[in-house]
Amino acid sequence: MNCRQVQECLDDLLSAGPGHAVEPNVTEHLAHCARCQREHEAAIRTLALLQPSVEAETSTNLKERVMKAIEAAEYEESHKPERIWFGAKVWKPMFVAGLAAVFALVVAASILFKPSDRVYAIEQTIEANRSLRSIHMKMTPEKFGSVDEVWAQFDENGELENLRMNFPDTEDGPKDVVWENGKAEVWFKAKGSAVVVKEPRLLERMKMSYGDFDPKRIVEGLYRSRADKRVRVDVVEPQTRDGEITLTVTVDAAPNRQDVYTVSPETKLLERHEVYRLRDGNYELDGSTEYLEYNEPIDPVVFTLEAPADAMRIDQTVQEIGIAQGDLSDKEIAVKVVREFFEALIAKDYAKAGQLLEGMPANKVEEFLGGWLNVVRIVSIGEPTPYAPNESLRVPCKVEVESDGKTSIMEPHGPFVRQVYQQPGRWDICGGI
Amino acid sequence: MWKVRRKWQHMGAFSIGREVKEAVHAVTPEAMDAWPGGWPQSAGEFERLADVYLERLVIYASRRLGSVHDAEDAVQDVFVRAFMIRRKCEGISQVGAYLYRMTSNACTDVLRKRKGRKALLSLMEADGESAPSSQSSPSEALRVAEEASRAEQLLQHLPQAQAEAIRLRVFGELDLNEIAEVTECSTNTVNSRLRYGFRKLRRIVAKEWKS
Repeated sequence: MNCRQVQECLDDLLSAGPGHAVEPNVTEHLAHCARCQREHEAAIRTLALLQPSVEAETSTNLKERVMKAIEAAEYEESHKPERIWFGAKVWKPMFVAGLAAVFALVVAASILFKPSDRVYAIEQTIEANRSLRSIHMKMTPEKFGSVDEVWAQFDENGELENLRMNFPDTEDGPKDVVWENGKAEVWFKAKGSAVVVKEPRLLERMKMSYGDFDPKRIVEGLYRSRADKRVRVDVVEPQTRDGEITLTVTVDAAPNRQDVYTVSPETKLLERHEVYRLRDGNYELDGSTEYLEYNEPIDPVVFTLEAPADAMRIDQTVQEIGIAQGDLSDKEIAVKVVREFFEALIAKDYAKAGQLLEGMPANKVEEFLGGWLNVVRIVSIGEPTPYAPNESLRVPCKVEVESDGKTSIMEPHGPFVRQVYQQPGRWDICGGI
Repeated sequence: MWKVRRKWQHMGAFSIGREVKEAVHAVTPEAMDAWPGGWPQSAGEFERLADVYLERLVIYASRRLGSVHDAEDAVQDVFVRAFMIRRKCEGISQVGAYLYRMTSNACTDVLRKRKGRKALLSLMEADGESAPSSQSSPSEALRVAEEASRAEQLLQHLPQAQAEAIRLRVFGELDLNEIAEVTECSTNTVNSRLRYGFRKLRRIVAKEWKS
């Protein structure tokens, strides 16, 4: 056996696996070749560096913990107040009727079950929320993918008019989202780009995200859940003049969670919502929402993103993105988009490549991709497969790229191709390059 | 909390004893189709899914993160997220591959969060608080955290795809077919990624060792 063959055996160590039987002549070669011996030692050292010297033992109650968390999630999911939005014609009358029924119930309940021993009743907060015109809230701690500050403004019918949500840490880096006049604008701070879209699904998602913190929805949901005996609400009245009303909410199905709401004795509005999780026998604060200002005029600047003038701005409401699907199937159009994108890069047609990449301006495509992604040839484009996380099709492909006079094969982890928001029948690449 | 085991190191000596092979077979996950059904839809099905994947995912995550505490939290989040998206994923059959991918992403998020912080110190505190076991000590937890951090630093020298293949092979103990399923590529590609990745790492280690 020669040195090259021994090197190949070393290359194959990881692929072969720990149960791999080594040919005796490798050992024989190592005994006589100092160079291969050094390589062998480096391989052992590399394995030692990669592998921990001690092994973890999982907690004995881990499965129980996970199942409790799943049960709690299932409970929360099934008892979330319904999210009905005004866009669907079918639901609107039902929603109005439901609202009227809830109102009637609230009035009846407040007459029939006038609290004798308590000054405060949840109905008072429901009533106080009726005059909600604007709100500003903050969430802590900062969590990956979660919003940390929200401003919302409502019209005279109580419908959401303007909304701003700041996300400090997401897969795209920090981003701020503003919804105004039916359009959503997203400012990707780390990428220095802003995107404007007018897409009902996105707007609905924003409303749903807001719904998680909406004090009106929370309190009405609490009221219904308590009436249905699905939750236990312990109300503690303030003991001093400056004290607060607290509502501690527990659910038998989710014993590891406790929600504490603080209510202002004066306005009866929610001031704070804290979530506690049971860890090692104690409830520990997991996160909180502070309801900072109700009905204070919000500076219009809040609903204007601070993207600098030179930031890349893609307005998908006025610009045609991607390519038309025509008679092609979803998979066929996905392949076509990817093929045309790489062909455009090969031809240095950055305007075309940008049109296929979320409408990115040509100069930005050149700036972001032109420098390092010097594609010279498409090697292969495979069968697209559904990719659930961003509701797209992943199109596996290989391209030959050139760098410093050398060529190599690159396999992007995408590309992900999907229908362009609000542009029916058009498809583009939404990431994964 | 920790027990000594360094499986891959045994092979470095090029002498594979029977007990090592048996140990490998005892813990190496079965094929990724260990969960034959589609995406589970009920809490009961998730309980059975946990029987199949929970422990191996925690082992994979703890080797990446150097903390059982963080690994268990990350995997718990993965299961809860898998439950929450169950309706969207009804048509997906490669549940194991998805779980590994989700765990890998969760680990990346944890590592990203740690950046800029005194990670080792917080790890030591976290483990000390969460699992005061007779077998674990702050110094041991610190050592594990340091090892994981050093391994991750080493892997940072590689292209993402090669690093991921090595993580799944060494930390996750997946075979080539399983890695191919998780990373959605062919076994030949996985094989190349492991070969070239490992060759590059060996050179880096040899160079650092020499200097």
